[in-house]
Amino acid sequence: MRNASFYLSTRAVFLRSFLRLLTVVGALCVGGIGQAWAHAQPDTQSPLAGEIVSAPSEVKITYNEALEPAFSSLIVSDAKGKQVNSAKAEVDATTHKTMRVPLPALGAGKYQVKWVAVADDGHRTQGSFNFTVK
Amino acid sequence: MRNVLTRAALGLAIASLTPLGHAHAIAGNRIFPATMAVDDPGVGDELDFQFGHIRTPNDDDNPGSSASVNSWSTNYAKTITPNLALSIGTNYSNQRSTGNPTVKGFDNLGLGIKYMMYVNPVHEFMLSVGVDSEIGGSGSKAIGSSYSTYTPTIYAGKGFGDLPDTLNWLRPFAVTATLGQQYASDRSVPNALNWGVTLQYSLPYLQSFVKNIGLPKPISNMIPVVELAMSTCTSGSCSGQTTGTINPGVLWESRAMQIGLEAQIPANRASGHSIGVLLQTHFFFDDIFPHSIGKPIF
Repeated sequence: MRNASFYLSTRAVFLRSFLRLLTVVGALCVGGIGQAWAHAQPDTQSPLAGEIVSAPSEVKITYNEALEPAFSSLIVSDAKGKQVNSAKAEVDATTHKTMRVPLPALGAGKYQVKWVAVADDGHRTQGSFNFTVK
Repeated sequence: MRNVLTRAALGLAIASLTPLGHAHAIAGNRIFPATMAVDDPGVGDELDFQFGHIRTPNDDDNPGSSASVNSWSTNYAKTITPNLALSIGTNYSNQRSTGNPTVKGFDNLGLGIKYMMYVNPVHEFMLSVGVDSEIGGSGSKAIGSSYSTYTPTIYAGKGFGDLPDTLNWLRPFAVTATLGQQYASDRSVPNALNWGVTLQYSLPYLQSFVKNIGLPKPISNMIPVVELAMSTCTSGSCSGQTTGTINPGVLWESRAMQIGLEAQIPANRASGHSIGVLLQTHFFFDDIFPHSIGKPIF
């Protein structure tokens, strides 16, 4: 016959063990943050979203993780939806984090950037934003 | 009648501290964050920790008395396929009320299953269905109930990135909602309609997709949010009565984790009188361990 103190001490041990487990798991998660990421998101963009600029020579986006060049893309279109970049977007060969596409001389007007970023683990993200040439 | 309502309020308060399966939810340009009291519509590999404090109406005959509830909860979700996830969660609660001994222990074990049915990237829309359950008798006698509950639930999310350019400043807004009918294995326990709505404004979305206004970090990674976590009794003497909380707060997102802080404001008198707090730390395993435990089994 087990008394109440046995159950209380067992519960306390269980609770302590549970809290230790949470601490260890949390630490493992934080420790794992140095590993590969999955979903690429823009860190910096040029031109910026919504920016009014003189005609840019390129669109450049730097992501928070490495991209898979074969499946990542960057397209710039004018207000009528016509693609204005003839060259294919390139991913920086060193860090694999920056994707850029050269632009022809752009006239005044609104342009849309559409990007697809496939991380090196296969996770796909996408985005779009506008900029205006004055 | 009053006891039933106060039990419902206390149950909802504790339930609101016990997330059942959050997800990294992406629909087009939109990332729906892992909201704290109302589950988001996504499916993913995640680990969530929450601490909550709130005062709830006491389940006794002393009008105006209340219990102070502290709760520590954790939930782990694992994808079986890219669209299907299982989740398991538990919650440790400490309840103190004047003149009564402190009640503490683990609540019943929560199990969940969620299937993402539909995603529309263009319109930033996501729809999922699932079932959340709590296994009766699996928690401590002081906190957990002897009966089980089962809650078939619909989860939806809609971002407003498809609004025209003339409404640019509204495009970072998104809403998510859940609707679930809770059934109890004990027929004497009232059933309830659990429903929730969130309204969120994503500053990362504003910066990257609408107009970069030069917000510095960490503000540029924040998502102000208001959550409504509600429960409406649908049977028994409490039928038609609604309790819940309105939670304004902010979520901060990094590449692989999220931190959240919300107030819990009782939605009506039956839900309590004091403002509580929710604190969240959330890890996206699909981002932290993309090649191992963070990817679907199949």
